[in-house]
Amino acid sequence: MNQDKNGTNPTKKSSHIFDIVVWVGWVVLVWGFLASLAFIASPKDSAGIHEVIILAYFLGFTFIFGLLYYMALKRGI
Amino acid sequence: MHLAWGIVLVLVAFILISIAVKKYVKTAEDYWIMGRKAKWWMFTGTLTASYVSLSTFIGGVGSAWNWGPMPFLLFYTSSFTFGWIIAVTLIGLRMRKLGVTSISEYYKVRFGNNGKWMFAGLGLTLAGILYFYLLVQIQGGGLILQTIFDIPLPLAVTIMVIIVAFTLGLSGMWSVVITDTFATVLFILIAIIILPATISAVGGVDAGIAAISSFDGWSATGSSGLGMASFVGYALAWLAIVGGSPHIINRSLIVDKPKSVLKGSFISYTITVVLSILIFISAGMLMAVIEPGSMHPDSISAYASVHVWPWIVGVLIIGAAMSAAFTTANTQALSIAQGIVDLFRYALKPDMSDDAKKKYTTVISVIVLILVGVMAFRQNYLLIIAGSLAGIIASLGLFPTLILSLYWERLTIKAVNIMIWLSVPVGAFMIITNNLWGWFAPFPTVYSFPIGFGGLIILSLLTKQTKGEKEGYKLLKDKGFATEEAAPEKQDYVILIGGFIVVTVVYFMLLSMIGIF
Repeated sequence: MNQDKNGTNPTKKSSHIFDIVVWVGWVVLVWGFLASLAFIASPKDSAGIHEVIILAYFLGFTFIFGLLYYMALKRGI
Repeated sequence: MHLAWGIVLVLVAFILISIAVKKYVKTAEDYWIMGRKAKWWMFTGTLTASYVSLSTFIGGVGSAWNWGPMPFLLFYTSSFTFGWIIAVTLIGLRMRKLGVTSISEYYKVRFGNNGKWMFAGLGLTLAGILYFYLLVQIQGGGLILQTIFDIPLPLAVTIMVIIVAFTLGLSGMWSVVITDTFATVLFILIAIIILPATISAVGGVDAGIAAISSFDGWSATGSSGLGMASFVGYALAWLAIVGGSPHIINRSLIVDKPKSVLKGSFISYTITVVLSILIFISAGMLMAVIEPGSMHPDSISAYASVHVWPWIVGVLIIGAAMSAAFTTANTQALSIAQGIVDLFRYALKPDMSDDAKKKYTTVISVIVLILVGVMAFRQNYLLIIAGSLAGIIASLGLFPTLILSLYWERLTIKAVNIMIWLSVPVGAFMIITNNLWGWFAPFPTVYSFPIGFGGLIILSLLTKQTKGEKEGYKLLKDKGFATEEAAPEKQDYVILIGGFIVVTVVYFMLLSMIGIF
């Protein structure tokens, strides 16, 4: 590959697909997550739905991060 | 005392590492960005150590013990995650592809501007954001030394400053990255042993879970007494701190190729998230043997390391806390120095030689560390609001200018300069009035975000766009947003699948352990 002095190798047109995934993900995941915690009650004296939601958020974010990585592999970065 | 050995070994290791990598530092670019030689695993190490800070091992452990494990995790989830991906992928990666060596240089290229007001404003805001953040790390590291070695705080802070300054002065970003990678190995060891060690120390899983239940420590807010509005405010503050964080963005500039940014950060995220969840759940279980409220939450890590956890866990936790403070402080000092040197080399002394650039960076890093160290001699009011203040400053100026600069051609440098210069005094005003009189409730970032973005848009529309700004935007689109082949390897897919498996297994294991099913 013909890399320039910065180690990059531009071969395609500019793309905003990463940006769209990240910002849509932020709006849906973070605000959906905060809203669901605010409006769904959960007990304090035992683990409940809030624990499921908070831990699931990490899982969901891992999939978004993984999606970006996968897109980079398939479509270029 | 065995904990002291943990700290001594970590600090000696950092000094030896910095001496060993000095041979790689020949030019200013080597000192600033490792000459762009960082492999993906180095990027993983340095990013992990950057995110894992004293707030994980001291503040987070104390919070989880005092309130239950979820409030700090909620704080972590809602702000750190997307802040991380914005800083590293959307901003840092574009800067890397543009070939710039610092944030100030990005502004120079993006706006086609060499004005001293821009560089001075950026230097001020970088210092404003990182100074307070750095203060927390230097004083936190000093407090650990003070507690473990039973020495006065000024002496402890002085030792911390001397070692950070020595290692940073010796090898710059090479020292930062390799010591970070060493610290990440410690963090991984902790992630492996913290939960079983805690379960064993508190008398079993059931005892630990029952203790959290008995102190009303479950749900998103636990026993904190805080409302969700506070968490939304914190989420916004930390989105700006992390998303526009100069020392995080700078990390993306060191990699050997753009793919290393995503590869390294995906692994780093997996390590960090698993470590954080396991530490905070474990810290919550400490309620079984140490009653919440019985001591200051910041003391709980040291106390549990001596009296609760097995000695090896105690050594690792205290060693890791020291590493976390050290590895976050060194890169922040470097980032502040870079901002100030950029002011000199672009606006005041354009013929600065490479050697002079390197020397100036070293000297200014040391001066910054000394100034922060003096401030850290006493625990004061400023420290309590330092993190919030950094977030408000970032959300008023640096973060919105970085984001809008990526997507909005019409953004003008005049608008950027005004908002950057205003961000420090206005941010200070908002946080001080919030603390003293409850102004800008529930949290100032609820106001500072719209002020920051709105102010930039209005001021840009009121000012004339220059040719340099248009050309800079076109260059950003042509180079920063251009895609290139990532050359996928089998290893990439193994990492992807492995990351999913690790996080999924941890998720279901923890849900099962806390009694959801």
